[in-house]
Amino acid sequence: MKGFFRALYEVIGSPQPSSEVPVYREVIFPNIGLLNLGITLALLVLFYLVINRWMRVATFSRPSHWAIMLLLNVIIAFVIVLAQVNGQNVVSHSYVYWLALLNALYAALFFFLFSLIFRKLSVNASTTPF
Amino acid sequence: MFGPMRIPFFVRHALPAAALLLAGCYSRSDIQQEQQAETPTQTEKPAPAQAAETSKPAPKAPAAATVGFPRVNVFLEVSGSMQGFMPATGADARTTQFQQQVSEWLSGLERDQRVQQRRYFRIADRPLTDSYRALSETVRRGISQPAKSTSIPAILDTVANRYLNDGAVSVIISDFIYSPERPGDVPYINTDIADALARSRKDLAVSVYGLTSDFHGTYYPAMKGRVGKVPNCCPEPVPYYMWVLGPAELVGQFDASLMKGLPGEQAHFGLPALTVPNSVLSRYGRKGSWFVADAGKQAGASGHTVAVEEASVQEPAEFVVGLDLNQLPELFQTPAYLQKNLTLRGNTTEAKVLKVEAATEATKRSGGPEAAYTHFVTVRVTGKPRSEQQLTLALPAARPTWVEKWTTTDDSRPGPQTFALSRQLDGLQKLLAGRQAGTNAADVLRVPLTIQPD
Repeated sequence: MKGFFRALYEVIGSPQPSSEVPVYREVIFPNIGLLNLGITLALLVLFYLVINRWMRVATFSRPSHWAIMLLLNVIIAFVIVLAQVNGQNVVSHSYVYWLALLNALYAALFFFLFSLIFRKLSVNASTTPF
Repeated sequence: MFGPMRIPFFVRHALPAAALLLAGCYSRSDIQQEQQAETPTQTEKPAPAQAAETSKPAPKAPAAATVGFPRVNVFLEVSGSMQGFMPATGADARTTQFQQQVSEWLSGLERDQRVQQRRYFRIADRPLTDSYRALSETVRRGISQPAKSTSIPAILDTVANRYLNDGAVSVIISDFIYSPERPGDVPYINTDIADALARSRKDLAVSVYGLTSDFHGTYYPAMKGRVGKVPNCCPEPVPYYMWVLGPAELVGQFDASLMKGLPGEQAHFGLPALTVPNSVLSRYGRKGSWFVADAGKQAGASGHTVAVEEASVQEPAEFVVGLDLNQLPELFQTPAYLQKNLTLRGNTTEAKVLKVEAATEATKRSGGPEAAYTHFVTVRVTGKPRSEQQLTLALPAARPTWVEKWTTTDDSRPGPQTFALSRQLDGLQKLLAGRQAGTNAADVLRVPLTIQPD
């Protein structure tokens, strides 16, 4: 699992400064990766199942509403990286923002990909985003 | 087609059964077992050393608090040749450096809490028990009745065989001028010294401290051929020595505690190779892109494995190994000595010791991992290793260069040199080299490190 997240996050090169590599690989990458997946799934459950299946809210199923959820997911993904890195006492470096940006990108990607599965479980939003 | 089912029943079941029945005979398997029983004893010998080297991640707490010496014997030579160091004080009240240094050292020993029992001896034809008061009086006021000269091997023999058995540390203070009975015996001085100590304890270690002092009196050269003695000597300072003999472990501790701050030179024989507290510091003094691979989850943690991401001659990676050398004799704590002698052993030419620095106030107060160390060794790596490599940062036990400078082959004109000193120390080296897997055999200290590609 560590190896998977390492491969996922080191597409932009290995962490900077290099003295902090072990902490990123051992702690930060798995943390932000798992949080990213978890929050993405939670938001999808909220959008497709809670709002558009069980509650049958009729006014929150359009692609624009889906985009709002996606944006929310992206922002959360960006912020959790900063929070996680802050909590680990590593030497500060602008790399953190690149990592946050990458995580936000992955959040958008995951959200889109999982949407293709989750929309089949929904009633009101079964054709969102398309 | 020819699956296992085709193999006849007889072959599958009866043959192994027959083999089992026959196993009572002296068969090949017995021979193999015997060989197996034999081989471990042959191969195991280097193994414990390796295991000890590789598997000690946690730096051991320094034992400084528990240092203690059950017994310390002090032997002072009081023959006529020593009179020049301890002249009877006249009206001008001139004292020699010998008198100041030795009485100061004796007083320090007498006051030290770590020593449980002290015994003092004057060396005449045999050691005569003395008290601290009387001995320090002799040092200050001069030798009143010089004893007959005793040969150095005889003194060593007596001390090593009769005064070390109870775990004592013995210190001999003498000029160590050894003149063999016949001039032709000079080449055998090293053998004489080795023979004198040969039957002493197995873990014997000897530390030699060379000091110089002014000298007012008659000098008795070792080579009596040309001049019998040199009266009203000497215009130049003359060397005298303190030899510390005892169990290797105690001698090491004695060197690090009670022999501190002496002026002059030192050499150590038979000390065990120490494993000092050490680690690669992940943030201190770093350069280039590398990280401590075994640091784990703690940010800024130290370790012993360096993973190099990139390194080249133009842009080398540099990492710092922190060492706590408080347990070593003072000589081995000198940054200049370490810088010259510390080497990095291993199957690579791309990693080298760049510099050695002592701890500063800043590092001691930093609050980081570097605060625990007294010395910092910077290692430069000029190439990314292709595979994992085991390196050893070692301080080889070379014979110090001062020994040659302090040695003379003719001391009829007295100076700051001792007759055949290098031969005496060669004797020590020859005797004690093979015994311990430590000094002279190999190293004073060893620090295992690993470098690997990222």
